[in-house]
Amino acid sequence: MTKVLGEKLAGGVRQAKEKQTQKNKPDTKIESKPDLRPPIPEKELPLPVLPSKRVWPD
Amino acid sequence: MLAQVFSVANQKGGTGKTTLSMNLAAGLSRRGRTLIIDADPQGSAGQWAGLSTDERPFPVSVISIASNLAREVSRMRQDYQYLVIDCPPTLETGVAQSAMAVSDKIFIPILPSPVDLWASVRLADAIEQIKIFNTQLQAYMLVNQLEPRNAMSRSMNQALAEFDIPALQSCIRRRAVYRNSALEGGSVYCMGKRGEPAVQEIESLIEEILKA
Repeated sequence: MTKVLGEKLAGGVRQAKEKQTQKNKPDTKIESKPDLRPPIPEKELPLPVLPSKRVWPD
Repeated sequence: MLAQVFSVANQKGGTGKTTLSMNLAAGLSRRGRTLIIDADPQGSAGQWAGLSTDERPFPVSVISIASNLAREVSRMRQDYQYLVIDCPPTLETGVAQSAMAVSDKIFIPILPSPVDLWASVRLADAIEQIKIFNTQLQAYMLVNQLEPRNAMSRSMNQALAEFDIPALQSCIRRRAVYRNSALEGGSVYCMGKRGEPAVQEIESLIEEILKA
């Protein structure tokens, strides 16, 4: 029973991997046109004062 | 000497990341100066340690990092022998990826369940992407909450073989003492006789990961 269950689990992983591979493939059917608009400068957010904080010991 | 950085990650919630991080860190602290980095906005690691008493404080400091994880880890590496990063249960914020980018080793706790196995495929994919930048990164799967009498648990090895990530020989059994230690803000190391089997598991795990 362990072997049968193991094969089912392994089969599920193989299926999930196949789906992930399909998701990662670029869609070659869609032709993308280059964006010719000028880039909008992004305002840089200030760094937080405390990027890390000791929580233990308090 | 720079710290070894270990990340405990799985984008699926409830896989035991914090429990593993806390007990792993408690065991590592017996070998060298250790710090836990709580990168989960839920703050579970900090909450856990905060439950401990003055008489029996949690033996490892915990810091939470809100941003610039990579920079903070680089800064702290010089002061410790081991850093354990408790990652959030998501890949969407990029925090887990930042942790993996600065880690030496990543441990992926995985429950013996079909849904957990399937969900881990996505994380395995993310790790492959990170390895392009962090070529030294070593990733390992770790079976967590194993129930030896349960057929599903016994069948895990066959499924784990489908991943390109090796699985550790050590595994963590489902034991009430792990949950009980959280209630007391401690680790299995401070649970006396009832904690001994769990301590042996964690020690065995640490021996294996330090040799890997």
